[in-house]
Amino acid sequence: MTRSLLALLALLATTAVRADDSPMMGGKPDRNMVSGEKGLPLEFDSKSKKNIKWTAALGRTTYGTPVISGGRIFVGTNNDQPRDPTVKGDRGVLMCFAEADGKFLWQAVHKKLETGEAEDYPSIGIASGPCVVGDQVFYVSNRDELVCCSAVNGKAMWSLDMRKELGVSPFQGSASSPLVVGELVFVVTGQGRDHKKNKVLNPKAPSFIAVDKATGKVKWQDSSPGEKIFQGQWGSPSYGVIDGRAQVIFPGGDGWLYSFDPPSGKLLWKFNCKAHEKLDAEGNPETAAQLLACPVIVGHRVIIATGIDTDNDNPGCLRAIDARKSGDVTATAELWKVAGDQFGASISNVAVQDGLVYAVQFKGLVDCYELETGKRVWQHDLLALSWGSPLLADGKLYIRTGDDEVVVLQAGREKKLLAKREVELIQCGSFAAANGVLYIAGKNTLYAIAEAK
Amino acid sequence: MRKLVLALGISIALGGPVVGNDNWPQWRGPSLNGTSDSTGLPLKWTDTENVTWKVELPSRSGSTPIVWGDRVFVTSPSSLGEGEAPVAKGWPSKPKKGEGKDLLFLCLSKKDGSELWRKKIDGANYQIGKHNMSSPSPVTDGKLVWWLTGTGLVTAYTMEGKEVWTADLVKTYVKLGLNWGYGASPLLYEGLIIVPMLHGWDNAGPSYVIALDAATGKEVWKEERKTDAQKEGPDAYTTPMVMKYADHTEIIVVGGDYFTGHDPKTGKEIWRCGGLNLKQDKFYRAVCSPAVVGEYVFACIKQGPFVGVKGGGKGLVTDTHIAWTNKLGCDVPTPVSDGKLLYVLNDGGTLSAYDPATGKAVYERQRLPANGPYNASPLLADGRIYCTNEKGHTVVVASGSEFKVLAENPLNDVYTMSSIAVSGSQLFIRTSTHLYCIGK
Repeated sequence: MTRSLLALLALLATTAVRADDSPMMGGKPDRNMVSGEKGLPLEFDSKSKKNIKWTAALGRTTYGTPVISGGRIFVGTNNDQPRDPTVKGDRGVLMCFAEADGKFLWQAVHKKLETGEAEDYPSIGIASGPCVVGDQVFYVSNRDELVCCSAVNGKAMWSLDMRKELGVSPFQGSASSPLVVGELVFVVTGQGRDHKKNKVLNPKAPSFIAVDKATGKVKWQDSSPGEKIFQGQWGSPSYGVIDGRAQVIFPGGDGWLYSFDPPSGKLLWKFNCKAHEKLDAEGNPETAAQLLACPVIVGHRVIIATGIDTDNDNPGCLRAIDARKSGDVTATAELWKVAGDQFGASISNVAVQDGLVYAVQFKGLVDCYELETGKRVWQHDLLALSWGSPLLADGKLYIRTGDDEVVVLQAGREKKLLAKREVELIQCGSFAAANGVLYIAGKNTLYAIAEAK
Repeated sequence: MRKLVLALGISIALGGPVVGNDNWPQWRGPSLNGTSDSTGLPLKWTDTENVTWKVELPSRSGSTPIVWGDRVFVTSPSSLGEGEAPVAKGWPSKPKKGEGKDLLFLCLSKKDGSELWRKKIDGANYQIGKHNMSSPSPVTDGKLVWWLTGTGLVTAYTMEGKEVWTADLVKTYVKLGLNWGYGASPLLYEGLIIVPMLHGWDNAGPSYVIALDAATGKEVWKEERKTDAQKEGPDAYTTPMVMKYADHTEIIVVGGDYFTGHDPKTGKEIWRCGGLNLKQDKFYRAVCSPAVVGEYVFACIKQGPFVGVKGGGKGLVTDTHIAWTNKLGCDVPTPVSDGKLLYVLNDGGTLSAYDPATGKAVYERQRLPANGPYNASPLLADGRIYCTNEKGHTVVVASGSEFKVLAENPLNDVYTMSSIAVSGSQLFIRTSTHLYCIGK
């Protein structure tokens, strides 16, 4: 009963926003990088402004994904191009713009942590992609606070300091993108390893939490990865109802996926995404690859790649996992995997549509696989590194590269390069599309791209 | 000389390799640009085939071995032995084996790799990401051999291993405050050991370029090198290079968002050129060194823009002397050129070739068969470009206007960051565990 009620609430929650908004990273709780937008342009040019509807200045480092809801756009950045001349210095900043014309509306500003680069690396700003529900915006600040603020003016309604209240210590930065389903906010706390002492100082502190949307009170918490976190935890949860069973799935900093019953926090299943790696004599895994991408839920399958962005020669592993089982399902739930020299590290969410999975390897390979079998259909070489997640809309797969390009490939079984466009400083981050417009947050500029009317 | 003639005679008689330059006195070789005149270099090898010898080294290092006469000089931290060197900052991309606290200067026989001498220079090694305090490469003129540790000690030894002098740069000048620890190799030029001390992340103290008398270690000049770069921007891991044009000789330094050209006699800054960090990114620390090609010098910070500057300027020349730029580039590997083409190896594993005078791409972003990252700088010799990735795989590409992969040579390793050194027809490759002498 509670499950179906929650599922119903989730349905209500997702339909409360305009159908064409993109109110969270990935647009929907399944985090599948597919948008229903049509007619996004292939032709655009940031220099001649062709098909650039508007641009808005951000800070000078932007890792956050833009989200669009209720006529507003929200994006995390830093304070290197201050909007408010009285607020100077390094800050984490959430900026809000008008969707229609990019007009700056407000910003929420957070001071840097006193603990410095160990927990809040200089200049990184706010890296979390917000989740917007009605007039509430949920995001994680650079200070590792889960913040709920007003979409109208940015005023905080409540704030949960996960370091002070929960004993969390993030590694170098906090980046999780919250997910709101019904009355609960789910987020990865960012709990990490102390790099000097090389251990998790407070392994009992939670990694995954569910918080009351209205009050910020913690409803349940889980510290599963405990002392096994390799570095930090910068992933974000996904949500789906699979065979009638609601699940919130968290990527762990130990390389495991953890699925919980959303209202209670009871563990439903877990899967070791590093099971294919050999252990060394001391029991350490072969690589530091972990889960930076979001699990993407498609039907009964969860698809996720392992990887880390500091090393493009690490082997990664792309997997499809059956989410209908219970317990430690590492040995039983794997539907297929692509690993070894066939799949390098990846930090991107996949896009899945029409029985095909599109995955981007960090070293610059775009792969298309059959969802059913994991068989590769084609591969395209970007000849440049790729950090962000792809976005599939209207049969076009948009990918950004470390060489400041947007590459557009045709979706489907036939490989075809549709376009390659240069846009200044867009190495990191993910696309969003809403209401006929494609958004790219570059390092210092937010671009709104649409066919000129 | 007689030896060379004899060697040439034998080579020609046997139809075998013609021996070129025997010495590799500095990280970028005899011409300071990563090229060698040697021919008959090995094209194919594995960790057992075409290996004349290999020796196990105490620990990993990013430094490049140098060769003079019958000797090879290598630097390394000690092995784990009596305790692990502290980890100053971790961003471990792979689980790695620890390493010891001592910084060792080793002299090996070129003939068989046997150890001739080893000196402990410092006991303060620390690990920082992929790097440690042994990263700077030594330099020699055949009489003395100098090494600068990442902890700031410059030391001169005779070829036989007798200490001549040691200078402590940190004590004398300023604490080195680089985000990822000091790693520049010094430049030996006309009796001077020229050391850049460019930093800013951890230290508000000034940045300098310093010239020491190579024979005595006494300061000859000291030039404060100013920058308006912020946060990590002032940090540089680059080696100064020499540029000669018309009747000028200049020492080129790159870091802190600028190229600067200095008078080798006084250190005085003659010109300065920006353009390396168009968007004032605060993390634009400079890693790859400038590449000098005739009257041009090329540099790149963090993969772009790639900038070519024409020498001969005075004062701030950003508006007048930039020859060309493009948005592709490299972060760690220093570009290489034979004067005809400029080859840019991108860390991610692609190679581009340009006309150095015009910037016209001859080819761009050709994928190498071995994955990145590439940290080692490419070697250009014998009509080939040798590109070594972090796993110790060396991809050999034909030089010239057509991109063509000739061979891929695996050495199973996890941390190869040293560039290849050449002596005669042999290659010296330092992996994280071994020094290999490849070829006959």
